[in-house]
Amino acid sequence: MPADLLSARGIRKAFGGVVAVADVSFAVTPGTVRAIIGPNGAGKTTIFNLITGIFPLDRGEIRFKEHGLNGLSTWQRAQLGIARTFQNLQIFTNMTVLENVMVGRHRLSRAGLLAAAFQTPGSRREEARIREQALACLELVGLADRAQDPAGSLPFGQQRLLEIARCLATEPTLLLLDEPAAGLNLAETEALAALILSLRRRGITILLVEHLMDLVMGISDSVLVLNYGQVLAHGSPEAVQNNPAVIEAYLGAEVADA
Amino acid sequence: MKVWAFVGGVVVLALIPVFVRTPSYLDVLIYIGLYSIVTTGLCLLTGYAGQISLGQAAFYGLGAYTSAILTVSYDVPSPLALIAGIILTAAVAYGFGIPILKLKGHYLAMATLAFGIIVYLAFVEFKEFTGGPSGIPGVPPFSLFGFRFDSDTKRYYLTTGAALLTLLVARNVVNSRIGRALRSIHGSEVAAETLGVDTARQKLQVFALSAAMASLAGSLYAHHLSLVSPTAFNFVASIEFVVMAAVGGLASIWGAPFGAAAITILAEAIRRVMPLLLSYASGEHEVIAYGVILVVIMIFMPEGLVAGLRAALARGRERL
Repeated sequence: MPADLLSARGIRKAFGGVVAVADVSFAVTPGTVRAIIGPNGAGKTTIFNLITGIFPLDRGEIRFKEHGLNGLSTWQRAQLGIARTFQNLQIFTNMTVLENVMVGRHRLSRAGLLAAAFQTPGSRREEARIREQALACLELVGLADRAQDPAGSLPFGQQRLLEIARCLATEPTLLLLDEPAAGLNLAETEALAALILSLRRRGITILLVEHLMDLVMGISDSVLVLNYGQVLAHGSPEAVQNNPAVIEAYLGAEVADA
Repeated sequence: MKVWAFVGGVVVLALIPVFVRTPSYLDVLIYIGLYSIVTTGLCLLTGYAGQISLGQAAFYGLGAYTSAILTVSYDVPSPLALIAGIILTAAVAYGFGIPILKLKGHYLAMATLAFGIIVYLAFVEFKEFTGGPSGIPGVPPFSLFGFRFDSDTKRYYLTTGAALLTLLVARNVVNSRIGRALRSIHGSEVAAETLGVDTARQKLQVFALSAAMASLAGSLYAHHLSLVSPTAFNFVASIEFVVMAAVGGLASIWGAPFGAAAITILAEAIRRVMPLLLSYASGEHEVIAYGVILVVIMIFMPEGLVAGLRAALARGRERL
């Protein structure tokens, strides 16, 4: 079995008196799709925020490849190859679709303020490469024809794809997708499933937070179930679906909600 | 198209002194050049990176005082003094930016305002260096390789050239990886960070760059007026720079020269016209007229003059 790409050991995060994530441990095997599911407020998005360093950990440790992530800021973690999308979209609406993706090339390009200010030949060549690579990422998600449009003019579902394209531009090793199917119609969801599987074939490891069970069970190699900030179960999609604790807590809660 | 518009603009600017011979008009044009340099920096900082500064006059003053002190007291050649001013001012902005650029919105506005007031008071109080409230007289004209910019016409070319260079540098920055990183901070700071943009560093860099531009203008101002004194660098001046940037339009660096020109000409026009309309007009009446016109501009062109005129042109074309 290959070494874990990402591992969390005993991580905890409380907001005031509310414990969002309580002593959670899990590991992600490289080249797989791992889903995190659980009722609303189970701590899924908080875990993404802890992995990307948007919030500091109260306790525990997160490791990525050979690096301890504790103490690294968000941009440093991105530099290591961790990219993420957002449940509530964070598109740069002050830029075009293409420019949004070009920002994703930031970590893999070098031109500094002075090189940019005087447009050195090196910086011009780099700029041309950035544009080319960003366009390739847009093609991958099927948005190349909207490249020059203002990013805010895209319909909701395409904005989700734009966030994924922007992540791909960073050439991530680990991609965190936070409810990528929320607000998508059936056809868009099917296209998304195909896209996620094609990314896995490219060797990108995916951590997926998603409510849509058909999508989760269809594409995940393993599933982690959270409830009240704690791990309720983990294993293959089949094993999790047949786990009595999961059926009771998770599906039961959803029935109760409805 | 854009290149031709720029070349055309340069030709027009180059020909102005041939037709404009009145010294007071040339003086106004020189100030437009100086203010447009400061406003260009502010536009990068606020329009692109989304960070506000109400202390830009302090950087303008630091450049002016550095040039004045070094050329008057130490006989340093004026270009070296100008460069020293830029380096000093950028370093001050960088050091001061480390703690305060962590603040956002109104808090950042307050901190930069306070910084501006502190620097202004330093100009007034450190008399042995700055000459106190009366300032430093007798700043020599700027001179480069033995060429002295000792007339308004020469200084017009100097400041206009510097303003154009500043705009070109700003345009290059905007159309680069750095420019996109700045706009990404404005768009969504958290998303920028998750894409590997060191937002704290980018903010510091653009803050220092905007300060360097203000310093450049300040040095040229000192050599133009041949006198520096604190009142030119008080917080009212900082507010005026923000007004110029907002009136020109923050969405594009090309708004900066238009905003600087509009506000400078407006203030000058009011000063000349008001006494004709109102025999007892005083400075206060001027401020009232100035304020009313600004409010009207911002109501009808909230995106600034450049965007407003562009939209008006587009509407005009549709009618044709």
